[in-house]
Amino acid sequence: MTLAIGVATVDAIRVHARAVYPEECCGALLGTAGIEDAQAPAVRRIVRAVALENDATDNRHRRFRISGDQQLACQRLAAALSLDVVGFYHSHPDHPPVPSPVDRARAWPWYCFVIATVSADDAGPLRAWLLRDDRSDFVELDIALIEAEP
Amino acid sequence: MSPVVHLPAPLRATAADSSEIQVTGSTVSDVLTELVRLSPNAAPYLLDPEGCVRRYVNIYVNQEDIRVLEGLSTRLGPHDEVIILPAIAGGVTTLTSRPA
Repeated sequence: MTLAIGVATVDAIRVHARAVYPEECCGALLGTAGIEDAQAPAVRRIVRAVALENDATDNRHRRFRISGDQQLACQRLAAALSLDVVGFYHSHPDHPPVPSPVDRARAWPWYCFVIATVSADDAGPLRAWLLRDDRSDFVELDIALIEAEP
Repeated sequence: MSPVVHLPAPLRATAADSSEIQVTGSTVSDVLTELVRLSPNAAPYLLDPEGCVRRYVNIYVNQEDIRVLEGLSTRLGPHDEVIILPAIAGGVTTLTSRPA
């Protein structure tokens, strides 16, 4: 599966990761989901990244949580834009952008999860992941950068 | 008329690609049970292997989190709306101080 995401959206995620460093940032990804069948690779298209508050009450440099009220607001925003919430992003300060066991335990299949690594100096590249339906592991998605928002 | 359940995108495929489905039931628990009966593929998203509602599921009734209502026992009327959303959380594994 491929994740198509605009350069400006990637930049927005990296700026968010830098802004809240050394804490983890988090947000929702609004867009569309392609038809999943055997004839063509499925695609998630990200139109907008919505920066959200990290609602974790402690260890915010190692944990993030998106509150239910923020989820509800994102769902409404997506519906108003005729989009879906198709994924979420967060940062791993000073750690690689690879899902942790904590991420796996708390993720949902179907959604794409974008992780940004960030350090005191810079925000690194993003990687995107999809949790298998049986929750056994994540599969990495190909990221297709596009100049204009789809 | 039955309560309407609004589904997040991952569950729409389990309900004929519809973002909402009418499900009979007089409590949230009843509605979830009926939803899983109608759409068995929704079960792994909503229920743990013991059949209890997963911890990382948010359920609202008419915009109110059922945690501040009566939980799964919250009673529903025919015009009530049930909204199911993921509770997303995570982070890096270690809780030690950051590497130098």
